[in-house]
Amino acid sequence: MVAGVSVLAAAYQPLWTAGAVYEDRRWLAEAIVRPSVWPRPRSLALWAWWLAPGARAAHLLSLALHLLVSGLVGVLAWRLGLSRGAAWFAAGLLALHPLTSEAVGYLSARTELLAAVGVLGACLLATVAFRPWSWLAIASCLWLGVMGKESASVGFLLVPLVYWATGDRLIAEVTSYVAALGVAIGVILSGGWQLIADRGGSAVYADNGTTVLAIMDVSWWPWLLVQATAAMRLLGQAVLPLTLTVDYDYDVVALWVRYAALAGLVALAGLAWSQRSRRPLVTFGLAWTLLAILPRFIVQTPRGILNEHQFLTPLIGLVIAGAALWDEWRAYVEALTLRTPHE
Amino acid sequence: MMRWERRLPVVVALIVLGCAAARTHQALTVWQSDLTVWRHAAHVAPFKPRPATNYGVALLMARDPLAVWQLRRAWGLTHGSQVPDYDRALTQRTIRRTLIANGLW
Repeated sequence: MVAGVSVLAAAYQPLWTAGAVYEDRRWLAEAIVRPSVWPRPRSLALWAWWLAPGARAAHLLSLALHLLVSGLVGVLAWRLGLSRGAAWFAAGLLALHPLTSEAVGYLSARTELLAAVGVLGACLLATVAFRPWSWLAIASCLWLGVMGKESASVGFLLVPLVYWATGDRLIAEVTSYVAALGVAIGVILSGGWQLIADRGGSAVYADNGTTVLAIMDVSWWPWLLVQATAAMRLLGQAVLPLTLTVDYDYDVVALWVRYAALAGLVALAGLAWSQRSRRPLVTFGLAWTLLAILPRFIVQTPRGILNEHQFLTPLIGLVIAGAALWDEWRAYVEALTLRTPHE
Repeated sequence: MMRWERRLPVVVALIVLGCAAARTHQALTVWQSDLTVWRHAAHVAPFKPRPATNYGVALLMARDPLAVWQLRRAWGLTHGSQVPDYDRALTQRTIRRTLIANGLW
């Protein structure tokens, strides 16, 4: 335990001297006047800024939320059937994963941590035996997440997945229909109607010297390709986090690479499906990741390409899949030990 | 089976966590200030106008004499063929506003 805390302290030591950067000042300016008590999307994030406006306190709050998220991931992994050791591994891996450094180190990205707390709370409630109050509690958790950031609405997709993983197929089916309805409403409310009505497209800005006018005009195929490229890059960074950056240059990525990335995502979905009987938790983890990035393909925001802090919730799925594979390996080694006489 | 082989999964897990912790520490050193964030971003994406511009602005705020050179470089990058129109317009506006605000335009 002491060793674990020491490693965590050493890994996050740079936060002690970190200041506010980039969009942090805008958040601070908004929060400096007492924010409205009326709950709405991102109001929880604003209250958190109001509560801890100083850089050091704000970083400590982000770190505490990150550790809470990691702990919840460990509990979820355990509730889904992983061994206690694998659950600890999952929690530790998320807590120390370099791909989460933007979500923790960049104060404006705290919204993602708040959203993840709401989503994980809802998913944990879905692992408890179904009661009439369950859905109310799940909806409350998801609303809490949305008060952190709208991205918590992916919980509508992830809760049915948890019901599927726990073997509750009937409830999984019912909640899937509710999720489909929720996603449809979410897409319409968040501007995805532009895609459906075929009126959307990438933003075109015309600079008249003093102002920049934004005209929404997004064609959905290039949007799909660039988001697939970003998703595949981040999946790669989850395994080998060597080129982390706040602003990756996707404009220089060749067209064939973008198509290959899209094919890679389809292949990953196929892999998840193929393992559903033999390794259901690997399927669960990969499906979690793919479902968590799905809204990014639908909801179009100008130049809003999937980035590292937005990958926090999708990363949870990869961590659970990795811990499940590790657990299988550990069980295999232990079975060999039982069969082989000690030397 | 040897005793150390039984412990191999735990040893591998500890090595993975140790490597992750070291890389996280390194990645977090970038999130110290605007200067460190955008210097790193401009290094990773050397042809993208936004990190180059934001690095130039951060240098200007730090009263670094390299700021004007960096902003000129960023302006030059906006003329790249792969830079989308809206990125070009936004970046040029940021540079223009920054230079006007500091009496350099």
